[in-house]
Amino acid sequence: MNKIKAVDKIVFNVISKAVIGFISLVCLIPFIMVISGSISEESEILRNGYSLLPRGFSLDAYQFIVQNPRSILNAYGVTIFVTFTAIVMALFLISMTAYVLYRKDFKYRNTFSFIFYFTTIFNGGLLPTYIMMVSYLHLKDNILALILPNLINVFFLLVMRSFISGTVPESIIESAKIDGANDFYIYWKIILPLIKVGLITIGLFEAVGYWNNWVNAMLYINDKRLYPLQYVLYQLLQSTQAYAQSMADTGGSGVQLPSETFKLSMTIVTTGPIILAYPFLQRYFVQGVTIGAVKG
Amino acid sequence: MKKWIRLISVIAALACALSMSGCGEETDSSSGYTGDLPAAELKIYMYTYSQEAEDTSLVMDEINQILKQKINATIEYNLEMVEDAKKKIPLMLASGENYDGIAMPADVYLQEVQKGGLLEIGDMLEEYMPQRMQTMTDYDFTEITYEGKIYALPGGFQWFTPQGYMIRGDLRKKYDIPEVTDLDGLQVYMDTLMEKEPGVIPFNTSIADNINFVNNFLGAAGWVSLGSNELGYYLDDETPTLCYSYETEEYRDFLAKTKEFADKGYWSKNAYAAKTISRDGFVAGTSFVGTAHVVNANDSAIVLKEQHPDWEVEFVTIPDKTLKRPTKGRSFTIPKTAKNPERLIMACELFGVDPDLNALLEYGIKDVHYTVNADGTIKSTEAGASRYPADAFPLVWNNRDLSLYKQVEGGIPELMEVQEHVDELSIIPPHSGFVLKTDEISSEVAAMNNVITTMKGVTNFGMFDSPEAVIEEYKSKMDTAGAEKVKAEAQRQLDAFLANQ
Amino acid sequence: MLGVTPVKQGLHQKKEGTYIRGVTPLMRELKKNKILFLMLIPALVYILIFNYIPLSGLLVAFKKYTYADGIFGSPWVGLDNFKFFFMSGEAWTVTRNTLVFNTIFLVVGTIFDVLAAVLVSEMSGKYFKRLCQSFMFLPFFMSWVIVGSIVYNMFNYEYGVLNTILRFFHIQPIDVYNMPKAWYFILPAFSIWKNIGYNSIIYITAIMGINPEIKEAAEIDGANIFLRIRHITIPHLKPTIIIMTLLAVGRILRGNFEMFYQLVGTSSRLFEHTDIIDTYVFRSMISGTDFGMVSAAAFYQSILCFVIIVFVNWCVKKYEPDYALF
Repeated sequence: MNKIKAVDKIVFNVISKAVIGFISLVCLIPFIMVISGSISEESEILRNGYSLLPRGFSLDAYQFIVQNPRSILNAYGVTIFVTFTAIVMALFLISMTAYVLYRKDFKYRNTFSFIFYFTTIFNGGLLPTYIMMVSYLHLKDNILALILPNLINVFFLLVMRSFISGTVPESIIESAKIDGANDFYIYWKIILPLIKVGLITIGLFEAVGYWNNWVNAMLYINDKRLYPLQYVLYQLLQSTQAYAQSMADTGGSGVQLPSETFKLSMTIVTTGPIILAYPFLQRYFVQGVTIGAVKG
Repeated sequence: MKKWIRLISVIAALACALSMSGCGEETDSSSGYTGDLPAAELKIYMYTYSQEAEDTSLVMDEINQILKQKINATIEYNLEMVEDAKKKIPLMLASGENYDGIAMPADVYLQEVQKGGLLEIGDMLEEYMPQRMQTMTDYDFTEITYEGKIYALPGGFQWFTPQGYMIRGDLRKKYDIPEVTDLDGLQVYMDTLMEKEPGVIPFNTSIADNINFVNNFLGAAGWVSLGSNELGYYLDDETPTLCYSYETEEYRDFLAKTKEFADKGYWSKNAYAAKTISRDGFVAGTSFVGTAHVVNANDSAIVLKEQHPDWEVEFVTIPDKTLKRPTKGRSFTIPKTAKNPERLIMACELFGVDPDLNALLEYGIKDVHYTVNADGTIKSTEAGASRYPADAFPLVWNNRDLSLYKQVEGGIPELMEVQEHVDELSIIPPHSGFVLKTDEISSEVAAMNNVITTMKGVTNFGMFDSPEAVIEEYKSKMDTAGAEKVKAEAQRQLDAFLANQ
Repeated sequence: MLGVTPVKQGLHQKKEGTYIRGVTPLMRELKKNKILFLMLIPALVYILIFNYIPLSGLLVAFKKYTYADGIFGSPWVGLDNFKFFFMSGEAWTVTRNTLVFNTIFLVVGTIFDVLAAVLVSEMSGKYFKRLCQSFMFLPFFMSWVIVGSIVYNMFNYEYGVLNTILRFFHIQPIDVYNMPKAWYFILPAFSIWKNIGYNSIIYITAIMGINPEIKEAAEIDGANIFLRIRHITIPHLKPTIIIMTLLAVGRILRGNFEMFYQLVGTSSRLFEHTDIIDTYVFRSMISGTDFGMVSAAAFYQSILCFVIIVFVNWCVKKYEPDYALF
């Protein structure tokens, strides 16, 4: 009996390590190309394209960090502040709402779920949103413009609801009600600790979403001091595509294009920290233990 | 939990401190302004093709000092990439933001002027911009007038920008290739180089180049474009009769030529998927031909001089009878919700007239970004080349003055030559000032846009079996999209316009 | 008379017999679950401001919008704004392509995401696991612009990696940018590549919720790991898979614009098979944004998504009411 168990585990591990290893490698290689490219010589990259190993060696692409420390630091500050604030606000709102929608004894939960879900199907488009943000809420060049849109992501809401329903046994709520707790107390003191893993997961998704977002900056922010990292990168990447259009214009286009290597180094700089978030958080993804709460 | 709250508060405080440290500019009470105009802060929004040059804000500070002294106004500017600007300008106009000036790309202007968000400024121009208005001819007014009213600021001198091809003079001389003056000569040049310097795609172009190769054929035959939707007419028509570019005979020749070029391998087989810009490739050495208009070629030449001093740039233009004479006017508009339109107009007048302001805009700060040689020519410094390059700041584009302009060292001679011969090399087409009103045909135009963009990749790069087949395809797709209706409507409007001349 | 009034239409009679005239079920529920309603209010206010009020933009699809009149004042034009899309001859092609590709992405993507999640969760080797998970997460952060360059680097005819290798082995090079059928593999492959790290996290989290005692019991009973995965892990994932699928179906007419625009770009010969609604609309607006037309196209996508998801959700409700979205 023992021999059979060991063999199946070994076979499984070999297969799974091979498959996952292959997928991970395929995911890793382009990223290595970006890193190599960013420390390569610009002329080599233009001539021969990207490659796994750096072509020539040059830190020119990273010079801008030395030359403009202020704007990069500023962008980091903005991005970090926005991401953190948004995560806290979003997790609170999403978990609280998801809890309400999960409660089977809340008769209108399906109606409200539909009310929330409906917003993902029909969208008024850019025009009314822009008018609302700029003319009515007066959020132009305001850091809130980077936080408030997309704060309540209905997908995350529904996933969280499903997570709560999969993790929290109903008996806990019943026993708490018998003890006289009100709904908010149950949510705050009992539910939240139980769904830590869910909070971390959605928190990670929120972090990634906010970190990567440049659209809100493009629409609402003109003040350079409020530019988040991804928007700075986005503008750089746009320059190439825009440059060619100057053919049709009679003004000339002046500034030299950001080099290929510069685009790559900017990618590393803007992406770097958030990639570390996932490995950092992995230790919190522990096997959930909720059974004890009820039995006790 | 508490730990996180503390951490967040620290970060929040840090971010606030960082963002506020830029605030609180010292008010300049010693500007020396002696008039009775109230202080005004002008807000300008401009589209641009590249990242903002590093020292732009420095230069603007200097400019603002002078402006404050003269007209008690300062300018706050926002630059936006052209693609984003195209999306945002309609939104900005819809939400009624109070910019005093919005510089729009020409095609956006043609749309927006029809939608009613722009301020009519004819009278204000007379009062606040008298000097520049004096220099305007009737032709100059055509581009900024719509239905008899003026909606955009007259500009200063505009470059005449015939398009052409940059080639490597040093290589041409090395292999004894005769001077290139037309497409055949260009072919000889490319053939020779394919043989002698293999490993490089001779004309490494792509759809990103936005090349109008077809102009070499249609323009040479005197077919002038109406401006959009592939409509145009022959200059020697009795009365302009519109037809589509693909309906002309010359178009067939153009297709035959692109197929020939494609088959010979002058450009990549996947040129329509690539994103390379031949001008960049030219500078980097991955292309032997670069398309550009003369101003861009000038800018590239200056860069090339730095990087490869032994390379020579020769600029080849293909004869084109239909080049439009540039007008003084560039879609620098004022929205209806502007707070200080008059002051903006006054500021623009100063830009074109005051030599100090003009020099600041054009070249940057003296002795930092450029130095003046003994003979009066401008030499840009290293700082100038990297931190405030020529043509970098869009505000310059509408406020040049040819009498004040001096060419920067390192550029191509063709730049100024072409400006001097502008009257011989360009024409004023009979339809100048005509704006196609798309109210009734907007759906057809949108559908046709799609066909045109799609077919461009195919026709420009010879990606087809035979010219006849692709013309058939083009025609049938355009007809489905409503080409006949658009042509009829355009003809009707054009006839009415010409009758009113 | 007290307490014996006839039941009004819509009044819900409680078993105990006490009911007050004029109280609707909603108000009763409100009273009973007062705090729950209060907890719901912040999110409701949020979506009112940021989602429901801006829904007025949908009206623009049926109007001729001018700045002077604004959204509410502009005149109605019926279905005019839809003409550019439906009369161009391309409507069916791009709709079909959007549906086909989204379905492929959904099916193949889910298979790979679940596979990756299961393998990663069940395999041993703590550090190998964590390392691989982090690597798989990387593509999510690469902008499609850069991926587009990489794809071009790989597949272009003259100097692409693929063709260089083929030439090395004296095989005829392939012109990928002229082979529409190839993109039925290339695009899903890149979609999987980009999202596998991100999507698998949800499944991994769900797997972690499995009570370890159940797995141990099965192991003791003699089930090998393959059987355990098949009978414990996968069934446990069922609700998560269903909800993720439902969420994706609700967007089935919305294409991934960035991906198609950067990877396929302007390769017109591929459009017959790879052009989607979003890229089509984008190109039509190249000479200027027409709010009415953009809104009309979005409305078309939305209404189709709506019909589809309501139907699918209803199907799911019939068999597994707990897993339905609403």
